[in-house]
Amino acid sequence: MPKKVLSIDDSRMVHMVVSRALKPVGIDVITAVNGQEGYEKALSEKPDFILMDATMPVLSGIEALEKLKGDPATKDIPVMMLSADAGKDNIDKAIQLGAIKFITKPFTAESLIGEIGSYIGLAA
Amino acid sequence: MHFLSEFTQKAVAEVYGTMLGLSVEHVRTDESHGASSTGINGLVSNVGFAGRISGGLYMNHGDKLACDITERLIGMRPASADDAEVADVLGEIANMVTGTMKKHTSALGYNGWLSTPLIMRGEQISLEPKDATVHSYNVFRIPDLDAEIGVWVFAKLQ
Repeated sequence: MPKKVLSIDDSRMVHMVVSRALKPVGIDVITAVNGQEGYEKALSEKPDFILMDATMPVLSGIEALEKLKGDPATKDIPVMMLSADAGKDNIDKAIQLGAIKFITKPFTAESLIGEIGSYIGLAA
Repeated sequence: MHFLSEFTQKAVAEVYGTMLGLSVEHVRTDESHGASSTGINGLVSNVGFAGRISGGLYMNHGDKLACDITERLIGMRPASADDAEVADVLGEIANMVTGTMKKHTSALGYNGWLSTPLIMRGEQISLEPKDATVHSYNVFRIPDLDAEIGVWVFAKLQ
């Protein structure tokens, strides 16, 4: 069964770029456009991995991370933050809440595959 | 040159190079108040910032360039510059440029927060900040697309 990555970002462009990077290596990508929708999809879709922006409407990435890590149903899903807003406060808070890593935009497809692949067992 | 102009130049080159595979040439910088901030046509994407530096970044792309960049990023040519995908792409690029600048300003102790992007489209747009202490205008050329980008940063420093 293919691995499933949930991309949570308010930019459809990011979803398209992430999908174009991950689908060719056999990863299914599902999407959500804010932290609240992302949390709900994490509950219903049970992804293997979550890639999440920090700055989003409705529920920010940091707030959504707190909900995900506080819920027994989602707390074990690895969450990587992917954001243009890489201030030290954001990074420290995300890591403290349980994010495995905070990577900054801009990013290349190769770097994204490398980062995610190492967590969900993609062959190098 | 003000450090915000220098950081703008670094950020634009990094974002266009990494996300779009495009080299960007810096054409000129103007830090005089009111420099070339009238008669702007096409799309203007804005990201605000707050904290020890408050203000905003504004990027101007012409309609054709906006469509070219969108096609390059998402793999589909938009029907026009009014398409939602174009606004989404330009907003995310402005977001990345501002975020990259923030990495540099944070290293100088100027940390803060960014807004979500806002996109405007029109003709003869004027940007006339009334109380910004720093005005930075940079023009860049993208040789592969035969086009130019204008980037304004208006800011107050504390």
